[in-house]
Amino acid sequence: MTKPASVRVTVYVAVDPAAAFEVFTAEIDEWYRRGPHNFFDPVRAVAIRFEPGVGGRLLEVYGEGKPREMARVEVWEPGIRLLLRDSRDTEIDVTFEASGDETKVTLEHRGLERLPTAEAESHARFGGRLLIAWFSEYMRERTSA
Amino acid sequence: MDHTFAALADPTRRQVVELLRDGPRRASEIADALGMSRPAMSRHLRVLRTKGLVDVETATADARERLYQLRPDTFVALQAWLDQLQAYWSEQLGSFKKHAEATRRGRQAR
Repeated sequence: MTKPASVRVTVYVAVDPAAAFEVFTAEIDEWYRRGPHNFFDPVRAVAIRFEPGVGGRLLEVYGEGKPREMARVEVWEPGIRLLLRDSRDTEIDVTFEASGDETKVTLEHRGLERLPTAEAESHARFGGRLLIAWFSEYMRERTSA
Repeated sequence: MDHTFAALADPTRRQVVELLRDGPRRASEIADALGMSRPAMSRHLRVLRTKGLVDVETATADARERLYQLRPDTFVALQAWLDQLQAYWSEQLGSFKKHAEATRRGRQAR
């Protein structure tokens, strides 16, 4: 009964889709914004990186000790699509699409309605991982009515 | 905010909220719609009310006729939270774009 919930963001990048995919994955540590809320353990985290290919992990790396798995790769199609499933069973779907000289990169974070409320609550302090759902639709209906 | 999420931890209560999106309902209508006994539903409604998700229209004297409805202010707060997630991804993708264009464009030009 609960409606699916997602957020979606699109950017146009002035590189080709293959390069965009490579930067997104291989160089995530160089562009991923640091911040007190953007890591699971911001005090210990020193890097973030992908293990390439289906079944690979998105890892938060620490100075010492084992890295933490943040998500797992379900689709790895260089230049086309990257699909991640995080440990809370939400999905991050990133598509790369040629658009003139640019690449249209669309990121959809969905399955937010599956996030148990207790988890949502405990993640409220992590800027990126928070969420809860079907409200966006509710609000859209309200504001467009 | 914490109260809101605690109230929504229960799937029945999430269904009640879904139902009330279509408009105010009597407690009995809500119970029937979800196939639940009225006393059980009344407990859920009490939680939703004390946590600030719904309120009761007390226009009629008869308690059985009281209408339950969503409190919009609570949903504005939840929407703000969802907006925060969107803002987070916008910021990350903006940074990604900057990095990609700074490194790849230069390389292509060479």
